[in-house]
Amino acid sequence: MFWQIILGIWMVGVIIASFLYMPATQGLGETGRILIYHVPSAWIAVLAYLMAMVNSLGYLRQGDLRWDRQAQVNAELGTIFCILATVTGAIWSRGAWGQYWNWDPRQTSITVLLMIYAAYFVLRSAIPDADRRARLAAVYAILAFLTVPFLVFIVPRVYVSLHPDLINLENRSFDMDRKMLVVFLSSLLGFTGLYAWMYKVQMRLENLLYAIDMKRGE
Amino acid sequence: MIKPLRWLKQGLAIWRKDLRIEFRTRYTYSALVMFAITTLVTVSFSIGGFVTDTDITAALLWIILFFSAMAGLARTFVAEEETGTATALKMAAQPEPVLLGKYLFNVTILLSLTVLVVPLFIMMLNLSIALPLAFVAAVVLGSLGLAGASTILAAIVAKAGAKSSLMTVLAFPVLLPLLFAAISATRAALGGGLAADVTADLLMLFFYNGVALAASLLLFEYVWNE
Amino acid sequence: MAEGLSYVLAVTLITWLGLFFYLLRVDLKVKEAERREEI
Repeated sequence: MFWQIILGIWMVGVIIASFLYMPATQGLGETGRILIYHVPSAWIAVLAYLMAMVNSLGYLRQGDLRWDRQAQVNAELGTIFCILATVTGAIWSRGAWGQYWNWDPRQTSITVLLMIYAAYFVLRSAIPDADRRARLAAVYAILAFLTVPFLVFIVPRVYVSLHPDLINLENRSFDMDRKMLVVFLSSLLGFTGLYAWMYKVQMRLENLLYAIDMKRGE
Repeated sequence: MIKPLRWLKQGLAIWRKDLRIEFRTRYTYSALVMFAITTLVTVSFSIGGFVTDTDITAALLWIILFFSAMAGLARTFVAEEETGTATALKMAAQPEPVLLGKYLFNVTILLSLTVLVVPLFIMMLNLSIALPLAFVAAVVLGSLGLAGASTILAAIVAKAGAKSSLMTVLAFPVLLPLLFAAISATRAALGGGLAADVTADLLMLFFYNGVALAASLLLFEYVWNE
Repeated sequence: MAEGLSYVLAVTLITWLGLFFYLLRVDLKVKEAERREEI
């Protein structure tokens, strides 16, 4: 319970700092402040989806249902943070580009990512048997994720991206004000802590549900 | 153990078996053709004879092909489960040849569908094709990809209890990169967009096919064996 | 501080605090459920 309360205070600090301490720079104006929430959400979404993939592979290798529960929880958390990143992105896009949605390559790929996991949950809900559900869902998750890299190549050729990048590859610099960087990294840390907390709570809940199912089965 | 030649031989045997069953009833093929023709007629009727916008025609062609494929290709494995022959097939062959055989069957069905539907599409919408060779390559590679990625998904759907709408839901996100590339290539071949882009799109389609087939071969074992 | 920014700050803070106390409550409930499960 101790570190959770620290996390709560930490994020309060980050939120206040992101509005009062941090300057509105980067040519993005005041709307740029949303990146303190948008980028960490996207980062956690990617992290959670990646973990879901690793867990799916683990299930196929070892056949332990614990892997499947982890994959499910990670997929759910990834989807929550992915939706957060999409919504914050759309809000910012309205401020900076004038419309909520314009099929920027980032918006396209995040939509496909959401659709993959929506289909994943539909597939899970269609199969009553736990082992079969775990196996088919794992195969689908891996299969679907393999096609994502293709989007990275095909989509930017159809629509040019206007998405600002934090890391400037041309002159190998990190385009961020020092004060902004401090707040940004603190936010990243806080979001990761939040993800870890949510993951742990939900995992404990899933384990309890599983234990109850096992007792019923006896 | 990887034995490509033996896989191919057994796969071809399964392909022949499926073709023979298909010739007996012609159910899959007629369902696909009817679906494609119905959508094609609806599209052609509602937008009229002359459409110059290649963005729209290229997208329409692939929407027709995608949904026709979804309507028919799920049958491959569902039929095996329904008639109870899946167990016999499981005993007779390794998982990989089964996948190869079903893949070849799906490719055959889908290509024979495109041979029928694409000329009709061109005629009914009065299309003129700027780059015929690129157009044929885009249609063939796109159809191959549709068939390739749907084969293992059909197996998943069959094991999931053959829920009817599941196939489309599962296939759409997986096939989206393929559809984007195919539409882009078709548009360029029809004279819209840059001709130089065609090669890159065709290359994309080619690699998509490779990745889809390789991943299917690796993962099929987990779907097929209980 | 720009016009309306304090309003956005307040909404963000309240959203976070709401989420935080909700999660804390769920955490405690799960702990309680785990305790009962062991008995």
